[in-house]
Amino acid sequence: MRPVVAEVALEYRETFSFVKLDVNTQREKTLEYRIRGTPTYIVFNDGEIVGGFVGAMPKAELVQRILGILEIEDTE
Amino acid sequence: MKRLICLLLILSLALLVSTVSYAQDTDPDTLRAADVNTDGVINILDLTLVASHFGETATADQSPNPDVNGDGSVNILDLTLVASHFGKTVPPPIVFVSTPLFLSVNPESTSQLDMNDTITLTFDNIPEDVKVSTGVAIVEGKTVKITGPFTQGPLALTITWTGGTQTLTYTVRPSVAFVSVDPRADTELTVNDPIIFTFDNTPDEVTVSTGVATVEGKTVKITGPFTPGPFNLTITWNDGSLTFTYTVAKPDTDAPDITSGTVSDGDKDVDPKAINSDARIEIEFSEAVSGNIALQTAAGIDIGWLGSVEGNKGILELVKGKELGNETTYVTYVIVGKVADAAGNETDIRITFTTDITYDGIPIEVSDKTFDTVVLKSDVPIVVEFYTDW
Repeated sequence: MRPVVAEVALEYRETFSFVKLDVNTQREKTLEYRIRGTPTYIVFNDGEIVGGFVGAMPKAELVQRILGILEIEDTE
Repeated sequence: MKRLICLLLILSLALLVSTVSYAQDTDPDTLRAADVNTDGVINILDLTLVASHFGETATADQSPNPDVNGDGSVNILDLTLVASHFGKTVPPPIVFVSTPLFLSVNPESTSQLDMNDTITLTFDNIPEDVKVSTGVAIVEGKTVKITGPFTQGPLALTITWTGGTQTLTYTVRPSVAFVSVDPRADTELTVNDPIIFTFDNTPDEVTVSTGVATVEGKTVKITGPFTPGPFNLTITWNDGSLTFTYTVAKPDTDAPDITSGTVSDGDKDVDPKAINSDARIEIEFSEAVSGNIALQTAAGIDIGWLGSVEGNKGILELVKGKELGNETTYVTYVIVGKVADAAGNETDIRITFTTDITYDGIPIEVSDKTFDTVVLKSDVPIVVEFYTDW
């Protein structure tokens, strides 16, 4: 597990939950969501896709993108 | 003139034969014929009777019969016969008495008797000097009644009477006394409850006023269905009769309900930690039941908890290592089973509940199968990282 993701997941556990799916073994969802590269992040809210992005990045940028999609102001 | 002639004949014959009559044979039938007036003595009265009918024809059934020799006419030969036995006495007639014949007996020989039964024999005539080897014989006309009590076991009964004897064989049944009944009298039954009577010996000829009686050795089982309400049950057997009162309750047709439980059907977000901590799930029913209960996954796979039904509770007990949920995903469980009350009314159990996610900040690994449940049904925002390990 990438340390950045683990840190963000733990730090923002009260704001959102992090789940992960292995594209090599879980092909059905990988194809369904048309994943072209890894890591790819898709943000869901109330069962709907609200945004997404691709590529590894520093912790701060990762947090900023997620919160931006969720339109949540960073209070951490 | 005729009378005078007869009288003279009579007198002359009387004188003639009086000297020789004792020398004649005294055949009893001849003597009886000569005793025309049947007074037991052959004398002048008999001669007079013959003389008074002299010259007439006579029939065999005539009484008195002056045709002494039976040739159909009253003549000198008849007078001569009477005169030849004049003065003799006539022996009384021999009366033949037929021996009473045994005709029938009730109950029939070789059958079974009760100790106090009466044996009745019938004859074609009144028997005399009746004696029996067992019991007491009472002659009532052409019947003889033999009463006991007879001793239990095989019985050889010999009856003798003037002119005959008869031996009859029977098996005398033991006396049968009531011992107990279950359920007790004056209690309440259900429609299909059996009533069981116990006797000290096997009863015979059992009848009941209600229901069907089945004799099984020393017990008699009475089965219904009985009509709801109070009723009297009379049981009669070869040695007696008894009546008991019962009240039949209305039949229970209500199936047991689930009244409460640790979880209810349709529950969501059930905290698996709390259930795992209690190590049990309980379901309460509206009445005492028997049956079975199990905990399964939605796919019908048994989780491995121990299920039991006792009284009005169904209990599922945690087996170590089989705790609910994995704390990383929603899990749907189903409590299944079937219970029935004492009346046989059945209830199928199916309680579906879903446990909650317990998220502690560690990314949850999802698969193709759990993705929709975890991601799409989540109440909180979810970020999915599609990753690969190189």
